Parts: sequence; structure tokens; C-alpha cells
Amino acid sequence: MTVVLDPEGAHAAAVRRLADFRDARVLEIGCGEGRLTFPFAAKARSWLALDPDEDKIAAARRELPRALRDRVRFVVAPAGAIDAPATSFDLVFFSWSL
Amino acid sequence: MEPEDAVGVLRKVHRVCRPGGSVLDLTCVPPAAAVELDGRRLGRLDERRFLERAARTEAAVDLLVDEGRLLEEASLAHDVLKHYSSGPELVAQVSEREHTRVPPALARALAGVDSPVVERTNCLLRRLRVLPGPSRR
Repeated sequence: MTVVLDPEGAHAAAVRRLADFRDARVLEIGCGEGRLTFPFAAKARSWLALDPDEDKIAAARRELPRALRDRVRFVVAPAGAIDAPATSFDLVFFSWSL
Repeated sequence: MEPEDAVGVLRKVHRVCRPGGSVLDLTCVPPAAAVELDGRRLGRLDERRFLERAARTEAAVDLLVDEGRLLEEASLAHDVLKHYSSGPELVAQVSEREHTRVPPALARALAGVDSPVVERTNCLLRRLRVLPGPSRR
């Protein structure tokens, strides 16, 4: 089986055009295996990435580059489990998860 | 997520994101994904249920706009491609999805395709500004 999603980078290009992650505290909901986390997290101040799928989060943790380990945290959680103090984030990113 | 849960999640998001911050919403929009072979469209997937759900969740976003919690600033439509090594591989993969089907005629057309095929999905990325809104009072 060889299935490749978006090798052209269309999603990342669209996100790059509309979003500014510089120094942002980011909450990503539905991060999957981190496909849209890794290209942008280096610009952020912090990045909390949630997904309910344990296997996908495990894969994302395995693939997390060393340089991002101080700012990216992957957590197994559904979107409804958001529990954070008010105004904790600057940007919330839903990737096919609503 | 069930569409009816989306409003609750968005209200939580509105609370945890600072006023002036952003919400990015990446979603799928009609028409249904096309299946292509060598740049030629063979047909479209049956995504009626999937797209109905997507539309209901987008309606949840629009509700928060109407409530004055979010303000839509920009949107960008784009196509995303998923590449499969053969027709049967696409059929097998899509059959695992909960809300999408391969129409019988398309499945028959793909059955003998041993070369790569592409699924072209219509996507929309929306950027919304978080407004102070009623939940912060």
C-alpha cells in the first residue's frame, strides 16, 4: 500500500498564506500525526497538539524533531476535552476536526 | 466530532483564545472529491453524508460569527491531492471511511486500474478573529 497525502504541500501553502504563527501560543485540534504541526511549530512560542487517536499521537511523538521538543506537546484528547485557563492561546487551529 | 458538539467546542475555544487571536478552520467543501487517472476525471466519490456533516459544523462556526464571538477575516479555497498506487487501493482505503462511499460505476472503472490514481478534494481554510464576545462577561 502506498498512499501519499498532499505531497504537493497545498495545505501547508494555504496555511502559510493565512496564518502567522510567530511567537504564538498555538492550540491545534485534530493534529493527527503532526503533518501540519511540524512545518510551522518552529515559529511558535508553544504548540499544544491534540488528537483522540492514540496511534496517531504516538506516531507524531516519534517523528517530532529534536529541535521542536521544547515547544511542542502532543496529547491524546478529543476536541471536547479542551481545558485551559481563559486566553491561554493566541491561535487555535482546527485541521479537519470540527 | 458530532456536528452538534461543534458549537460547544467552539465556545470553549472562544474562551481559551485571547481576544484578537485567530482561529484557523480547515475543512472540506462541495463538490465531492474527484478521482482522476492521468489527469482525467473518472468520477466523484459519494461524499453526501460527509459533506452534510461538514456543512453542519461550518454552520456552527457561522453561529459563533452571528453571536459576535468570531469575525471571519479571510478564506482560501484549495485542492488537496491524495495519491494511490492503483484503483483497487483507492477503493479499499475509501471503504474504511465512515461517511464516504465509492459509487458502483466508479468502483467498476477503478477495478482494473493498476497505475496511480488521484483523489482531488476541495478544501477551504478560514481564518477568524476572536472577539471579546458574550462568554467573557
